[in-house]
Amino acid sequence: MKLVKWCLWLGVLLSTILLIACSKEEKPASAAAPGASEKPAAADPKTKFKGKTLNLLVWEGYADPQFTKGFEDEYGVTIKGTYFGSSDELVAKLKGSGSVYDVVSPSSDVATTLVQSSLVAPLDTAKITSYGDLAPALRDMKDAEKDGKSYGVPFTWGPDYLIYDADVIKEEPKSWNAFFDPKYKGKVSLWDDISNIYLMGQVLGFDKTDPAALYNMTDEQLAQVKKKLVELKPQVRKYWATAGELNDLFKNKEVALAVGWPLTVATLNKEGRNLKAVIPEEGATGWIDRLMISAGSQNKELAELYLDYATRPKTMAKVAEATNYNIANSKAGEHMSADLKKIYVTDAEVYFKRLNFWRHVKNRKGYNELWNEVKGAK
Amino acid sequence: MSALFSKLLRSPRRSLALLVLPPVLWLFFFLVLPYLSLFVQSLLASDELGNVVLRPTTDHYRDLFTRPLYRSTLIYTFEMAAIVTTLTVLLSVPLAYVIAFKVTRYKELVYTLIIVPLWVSYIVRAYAWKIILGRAGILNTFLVYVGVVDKPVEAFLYSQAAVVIGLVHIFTPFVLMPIYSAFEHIPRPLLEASKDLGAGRFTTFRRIVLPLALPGIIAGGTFAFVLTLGDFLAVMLLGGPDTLMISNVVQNLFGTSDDRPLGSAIGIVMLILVLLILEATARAERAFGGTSSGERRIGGVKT
Amino acid sequence: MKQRPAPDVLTPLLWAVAIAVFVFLYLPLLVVIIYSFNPDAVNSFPMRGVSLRWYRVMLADEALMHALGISVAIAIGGTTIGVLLGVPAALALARHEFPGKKLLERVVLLPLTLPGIVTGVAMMSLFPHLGVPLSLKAVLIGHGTFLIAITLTQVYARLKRLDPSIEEASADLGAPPLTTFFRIILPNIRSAVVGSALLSFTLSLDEIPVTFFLIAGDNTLPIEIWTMMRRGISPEVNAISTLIIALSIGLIVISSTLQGRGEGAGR
Repeated sequence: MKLVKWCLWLGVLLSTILLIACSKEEKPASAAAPGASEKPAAADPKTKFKGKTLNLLVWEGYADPQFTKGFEDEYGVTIKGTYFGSSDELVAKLKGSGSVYDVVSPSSDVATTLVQSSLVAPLDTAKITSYGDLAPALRDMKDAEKDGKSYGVPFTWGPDYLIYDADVIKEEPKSWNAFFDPKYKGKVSLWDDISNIYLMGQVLGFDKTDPAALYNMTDEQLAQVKKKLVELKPQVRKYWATAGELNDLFKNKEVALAVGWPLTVATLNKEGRNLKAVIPEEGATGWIDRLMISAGSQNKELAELYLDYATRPKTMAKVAEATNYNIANSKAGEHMSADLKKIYVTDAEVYFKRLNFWRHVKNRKGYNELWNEVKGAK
Repeated sequence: MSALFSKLLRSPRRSLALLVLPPVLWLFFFLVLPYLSLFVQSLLASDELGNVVLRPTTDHYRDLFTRPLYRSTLIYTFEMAAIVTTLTVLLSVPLAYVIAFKVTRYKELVYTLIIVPLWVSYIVRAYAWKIILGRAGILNTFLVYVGVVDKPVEAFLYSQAAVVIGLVHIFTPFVLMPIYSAFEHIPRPLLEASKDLGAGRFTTFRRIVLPLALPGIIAGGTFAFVLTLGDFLAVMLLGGPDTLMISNVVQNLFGTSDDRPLGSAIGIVMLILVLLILEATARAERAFGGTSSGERRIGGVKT
Repeated sequence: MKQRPAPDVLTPLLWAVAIAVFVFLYLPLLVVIIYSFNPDAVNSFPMRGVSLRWYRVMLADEALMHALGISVAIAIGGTTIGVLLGVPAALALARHEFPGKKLLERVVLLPLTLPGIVTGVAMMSLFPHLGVPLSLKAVLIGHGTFLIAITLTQVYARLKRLDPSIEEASADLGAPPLTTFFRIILPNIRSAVVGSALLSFTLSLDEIPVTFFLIAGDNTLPIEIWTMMRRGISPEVNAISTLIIALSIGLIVISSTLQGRGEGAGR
């Protein structure tokens, strides 16, 4: 018994010491400026990375061979994509294993968190050839900047809108309240993410005077949102965790309407289905995705080359085609078909103004707790 | 080289040290320390950005026992565990009985056949139910095809029923093994004597077989219970909006929600609960005359 | 005096239930196997023909094949660690007395008795602080750790059945301990070691909860399949599942055969 006690105390002591040592050590190993790990520019970039693998930790669809293959061929490397299902998942993964991933694609809601926590590396925007062509509205946003340095390049943006199966629902829904329609009981799907709180906030009209209100709700507002979300539960078939899961739910006719992204509509309609989407009268939230470089990355130079490649007009055109998301480089229109060009270049600015884009949520912990409580409510 | 080693080993103390030290050191750093650090972590706080800071607090344990979310989820999980345990035992006993007492030829083969599903990946077995139970899945389309129902039954998938079916299917072989083993160990002469004394089959079962097999049944039931408590995958694949279990909460806290101290607190509570359950059932098994279940549970291979 | 036997309702009923349970255990697996030959992308009844389409897709799926390779590598590595550390530990427990013996027995079994998720998050919390970041290396160490118990329990049980006087005789005859080990002990525990190695290999291949929390970057096979399922089901999963079922059956057959031979020879 004495031995047991002795071992236990020793163990507690040791683990405490280790945990202390590491809460200070949280800064990733290569937080120094990327320049420190770069080799002299003498070697030709097209050959010096041959055989390497670039690891992307991104939203689904962002490692699609349709546009990544070009990079693989140009530099003789392999691109490996790991997908995450929510912004919070991205932050958790990056904190846990930052040195494994090179390029990440955070949305506007966590851009600030990543920069403040030193999880991403500052960029040398001079190296991004298309930087000047990127939409100023996106490029000049301050949330991805610190001490005058920029930490990310805008990549895509898009809505969280209402998707419905036009074969099942003949008349276009006008409001998010369609979710509550008893006709559709058990046929609804929501994203497993705190963005449902923003959605319900819009339904309750919290952002009518101030768009930022959705991201800074008072306790009373949160209580109202929670009530509505729990009310909605019997209507929901399943909460989807990844876009692929939502694709599946529609593909197998498990659901008839959902909140989702253009990627789902694109993927399913390519396979012959008839999905349609609409921004309801209460409005919709939107997201802006950037490409950033992980602070712990072992391949920062290659990552920077990827950021350069991904923002070129030709690449952006392919991204739009593959994902149906709006892209940040309007010059991409030169490489698109007339139909695509209309959606992604001509009408883009108007569309942009209709969305309430995600912002940094100070009380993110509280929002997450609330969402967990909704999920746990029986 | 071997001579040198042998010299070292000559002293019995030394040879013991050489034998025991490597495994003990490994286990200390990679097993004991992690569990202990989980405990330490559960007593620390986290800051706004979700990083663990060195501020001791018992808030997490307090939250765990007072907040409705965690309390109700824990209770729900225990309910699920009870349901799954009952069903797996009810399914295992008849099948084990038949193989042990009624199958005369190819007994080994039949038993091995039961164990085969056990060795097939968990994920494959959970997936099988996904494609069977879906709205456009095999069961529904079959029922519609033969006219039993006119429209697909939604409740098959993404429901508590689906999770229960999946877990019962996956855990039944685990539960069956100790029960079968217990049946096999009952001395046949006892059964013959009982028959000779005029007892009917049911009486024999009730008064001889069941009491003697009870340790095995308890062991099996314990597996099902503990395994269900720790399961998070079945809910993610087969569950609906209402089927959240405590392990899902832990997984969420260590992933998306990034609140490790709270997750650790729940983990420690689960650890203690499981150890208590194991201790209680081990005692019950011994009381009914069995050996402790620790040795038998290893895979399908006889020990 | 014998009673008149009542009409035997119980036995057929019992058989019916037993067979029903048997079918319940097997049907899903058979369904997966059958539907791996489904030409359609949706799993509906009835199946419209037979096709090897998904097997072709599976073989062409580089990520999946890569994950298979990783799983096998980790299984081999983990089993090796488990055996290399489990055998000495078993020997120590079976043949020596030392303080903390009971503690060691209890501790080593913990990863098997506790839910995998608890072990997984515990390791995930500490390994990075030990200099092992979340990665395949962490997965390897995690697997090795819980596999120690497999080899330990089996070899320990075998050693207990072995008469220690043979080893004593060997020492009395002047053999150094290492020789005694290699020429007396090892041949007798061989079947236990091989059996536990096979079991460890299988357990490692299918391990999910602990791996789930330790992995980053490349995936093992079950995690890769899991990821595929999360991203939207392709019937390709049916094909790889069938492959896994076939592999598992193969391993059991090998294991049983070896066990049977081992037991017979060891007497």
